[in-house]
Amino acid sequence: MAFLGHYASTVEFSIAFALFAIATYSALRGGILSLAGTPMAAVTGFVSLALVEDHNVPIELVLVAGVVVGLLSGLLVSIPLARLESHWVALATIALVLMARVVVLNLDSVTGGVDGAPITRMVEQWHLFTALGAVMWVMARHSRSRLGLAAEAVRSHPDVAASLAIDVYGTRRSLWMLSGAIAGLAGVVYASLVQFLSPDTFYVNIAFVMLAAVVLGGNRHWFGGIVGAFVFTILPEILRRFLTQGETIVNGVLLILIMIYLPRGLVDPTRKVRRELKKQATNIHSGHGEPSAGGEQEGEADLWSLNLTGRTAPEAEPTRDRPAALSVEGIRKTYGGLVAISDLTFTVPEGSVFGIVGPNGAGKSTLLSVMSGGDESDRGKIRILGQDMTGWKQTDIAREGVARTYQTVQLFDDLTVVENIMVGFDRERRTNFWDPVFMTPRDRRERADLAERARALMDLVGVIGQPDQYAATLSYANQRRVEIARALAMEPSVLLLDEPTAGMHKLGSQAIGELMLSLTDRGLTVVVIEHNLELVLNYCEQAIVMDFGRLLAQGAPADCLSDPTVIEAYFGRKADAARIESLVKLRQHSGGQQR
Amino acid sequence: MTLFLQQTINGLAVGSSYAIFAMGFGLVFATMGILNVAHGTYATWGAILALAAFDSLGVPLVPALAIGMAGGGLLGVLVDQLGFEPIRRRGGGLLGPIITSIGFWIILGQLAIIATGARIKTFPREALPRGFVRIGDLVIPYHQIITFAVALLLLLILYLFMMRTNIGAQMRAVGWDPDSAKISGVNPRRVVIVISFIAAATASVAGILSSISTNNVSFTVGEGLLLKGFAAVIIGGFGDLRGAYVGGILIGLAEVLGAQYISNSFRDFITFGLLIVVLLARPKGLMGDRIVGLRA
Repeated sequence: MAFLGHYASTVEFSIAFALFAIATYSALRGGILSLAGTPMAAVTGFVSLALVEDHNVPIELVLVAGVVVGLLSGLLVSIPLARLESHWVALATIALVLMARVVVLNLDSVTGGVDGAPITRMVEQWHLFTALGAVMWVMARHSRSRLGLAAEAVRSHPDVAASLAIDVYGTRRSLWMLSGAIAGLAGVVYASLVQFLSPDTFYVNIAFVMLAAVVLGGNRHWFGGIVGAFVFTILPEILRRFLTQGETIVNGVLLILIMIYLPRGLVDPTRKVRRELKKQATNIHSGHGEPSAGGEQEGEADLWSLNLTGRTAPEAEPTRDRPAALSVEGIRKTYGGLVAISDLTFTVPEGSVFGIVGPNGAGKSTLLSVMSGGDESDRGKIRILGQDMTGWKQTDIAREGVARTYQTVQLFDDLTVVENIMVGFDRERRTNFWDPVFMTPRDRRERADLAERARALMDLVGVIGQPDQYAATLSYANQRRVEIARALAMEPSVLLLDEPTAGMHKLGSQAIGELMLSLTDRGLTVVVIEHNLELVLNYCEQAIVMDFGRLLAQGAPADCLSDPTVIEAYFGRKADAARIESLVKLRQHSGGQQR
Repeated sequence: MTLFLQQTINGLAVGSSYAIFAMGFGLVFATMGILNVAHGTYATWGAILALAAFDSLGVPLVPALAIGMAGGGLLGVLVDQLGFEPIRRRGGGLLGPIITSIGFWIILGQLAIIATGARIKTFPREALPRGFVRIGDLVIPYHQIITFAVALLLLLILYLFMMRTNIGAQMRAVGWDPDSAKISGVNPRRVVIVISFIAAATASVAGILSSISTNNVSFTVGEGLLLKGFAAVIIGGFGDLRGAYVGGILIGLAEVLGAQYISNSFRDFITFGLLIVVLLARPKGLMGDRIVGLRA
C-alpha cells in the first residue's frame, strides 16, 4: 500500500506485534499473567518455515495452520498451568520462553539451529490487514460475550466466579486456547516479515515487551494491546531519524511514566467513571457533596415505603415434618490454633428464612463459607438438599443450587450492573465460542433474554440505579442488592446471605426482609447472617446464636434471643436485655395483629 | 572419577555466582513482591562500573570492585524509589511492578550497550589473581575458590543480618505484612531502601565475579544471571536465602554435569525442565515461601 510510504514496514511490524499483544491480552483478561505467547508463536513460526520452504504450501493455508497449531499448543500448555496461581504462571511461562530457545537450538535439522534459517516473505499487506481485522472482530464480539463475562469474573474474583457456578479452569482453558490461536497467527506473520528465523527471534525480548505493550495500551480493553504495540513499534522508528542508537529507551521511559501516572493504561473504558468516583470521595472527606458511596440516602430510602407490605415471618412450625434443606453435622474448622467453628450441628428447614446471629468473630462468615464450599471444614458433614456435599468443590455446590453473597461486597467492578447479574446466568447459557463471532440469532436472543431477566431481578431486589451503570458507581447498599440479584440469577434452591442489610436504611432493610419472605414463597431456603436483631425477629422463622464458634442457642428467634445464656454471654449488659425484651414484645404484638 | 570431581567443582563455582544473584533477587520478591526483570541489569552495571573505575580512573582492583558493588546497589535504590515507590504507595499488585521493571530493563540494558559500545570488554588478565590449587589430579583456579567462598560468606552474612539484627527483623516483618509492620513502628520506606541496596549490591557482586570468570564485561552479563537466578529462586523457594543458595548451586551442578554427561547443547533445557517440574510438584519451591527461614 503506497500510502504507508516510508513507514510501510513499520506498520507491517506493528500489526505483527499487535497480534502478539492481543494474544497476551486474551490470557491476561482472565487473570492469566502469561508470557507463553512467544514460545507458542515460535512453534508456528518454525512450522511455517517448513511449510513455506519445504512444501510450498500457499500462505493462506499456512496462516490457518498457524491458528490451529497455536490453539493446540495453548491447550497443551493449559493442562499443567491452568492450576497455578498468577505469580507462578508468570514464572512458569518465562521458563517456557527460555526452554523454547533451547529446543530451537537443538532441533537444527528443522530450525537451522544456531545459524538460523532464512524464510521467504509470503504474506502480503492484505493478509496482514485481514488477519488483524479478523482478530479484532473476534475480540470485539467477545468483549461482553458469555466468555468475556466469565473471564472478567475469573480475573477479578476467582472464588466468587466459582460460587456463581462458573467453571474457572474451563474458562481459563478457553482463554489459553484463544491466546494460543492468536499467538500462532502472530508467529506465522512475524516469521514472514523478519524473513529470517534464529533461536533469538522468539525470545524474552518479544515476550516482555509485548506484555508491557498490553499494559501500556490498557489491559482492560482489547484495543489497548493494539495501541500499545503500535506505540512501541512506531515511536522508536521516529526517533531513529535523530539517534544512532538506544532509540528503544523511549519505550522504557514511557512505560515507567504510564505505570506511575496512568496505571490502567492509555485505553481505559472506566476512566471517566473512576475519576468522578474519586472526586466524590474527596468531596466526602472534605465535607462537601452527597455521601452516595457510603450509606443509603434518605430520598432513596423513602422509595421503599411504597412497596412495603408489613408482612413478617410465620410462627415456627414443628420441624419434624419438614425436610431439611441444609444440615450441618459436627462441623469443625480451625485456622492454625484458632478454632473458628467448634462442632456445630443444626438443620435448616426447607422453605424458611433461617438466621445466624452472633458477635463479630463468632465464626458466622466462616460457617457460610464452609457451607458454600469456599472453605473446607476439618471434620463434620454438610448435607444440602439431601445430598452429602462435604468436601465438594465450590463450583459443584453452586451447580446444585447453592448461591451466596459476601460480607464485603464482591462485585465485578469493570462490569455494569446488568452484566454483573448476567454472570450469574452462566450455568444456563447455551451459546458457544462461535455464536457471538458469527452473530447467530441464538446469541442475540440469549443476550437480549438474559439482559431482560437481569433487569427484572434488579427490580425484584430493588436496585436503585441504571442497568448500564458500572457497578462500582452504585451506593454501597445498592451494590449489596446487585449482589443478591446476581445470586438469584443462578435460580438457587438455597440462598446464603452475609449481612445483606449492612449500610442500608431502616426501610431498605425491611424491604430486604420482605424480599426474603417472598423468596421462600417460591420454595427457596434463605440462610442469613444478620446483626440487625429486629430483622431476625421479624423475618426469620428459626435462628441460631453463635459465639466463639460454638452454638449458644437455637430455635425460634424470640426464644433464642431471650435465652438467659445468650443474653448473658452475648449481650452482657442489662440495657440490651431490656431492649431485646421490648423487641420481642413488639414482634409478638405485630404478629398477632396480622393474624 | 577425576573428571567427575573436576566437573563438580566447576559446577559449584558456576552455581555460586547464580546463588549470589538469586539471594538478592529472591529477597526482593519475598519481601516486596516484585518480580524484578531489571535485576540482571544491576549485575551488568556493577561489572561495568567496577571495570570503569579500574580502567579509566586507575583505582586499584579491590576498591574498584567495591565501587562497582556500591554503584550497583545505589542503582537498585534509584530504580526502586523512582519506579516502584509510586506504585507501592498506590498498592499496585503483581503486574504493575513487573511492567515498571521491564521499563527499567529496557533503559538500563540499552544504556549498557551504549556504555560498552556493544563490545565485550574484559578485566585485564594480569590484574587478577592467577594460579590455581592442585589437589591430586584436580586443578582448582583461584577465581573459582573466591567465587565459592564469597557465595558462602554472603549467605552467612545475609542470614545473620536477617535473623540477628533489628533491621533484619524489620525486613522480615515488612515481608510478612507491610501494614502490620508499619503499625508496629517499622519505617517501611527505610526498610525497602535497605533491601533494594542489599539486593542490587549482591547482584553486582555476582555480575563482577561471573564477568571475571567468563572474561566478559558486556550487557549480556545480567541477562544470563537473571534467567538462571530466576530459575534458582523458583527451585529453591523464593522466601528463603538458603533456598536461593541451594537452588543456585543445584542449577550450576545440573548445568555443568548435564553438559558433560548428557548433552552440551541441552544443558539449559535440563535447568528449565527441572524448573517446570518443581513448579508443578512443589509450587512454592523446595524450601517453601517462608521468609528467610523462620516462621513466627
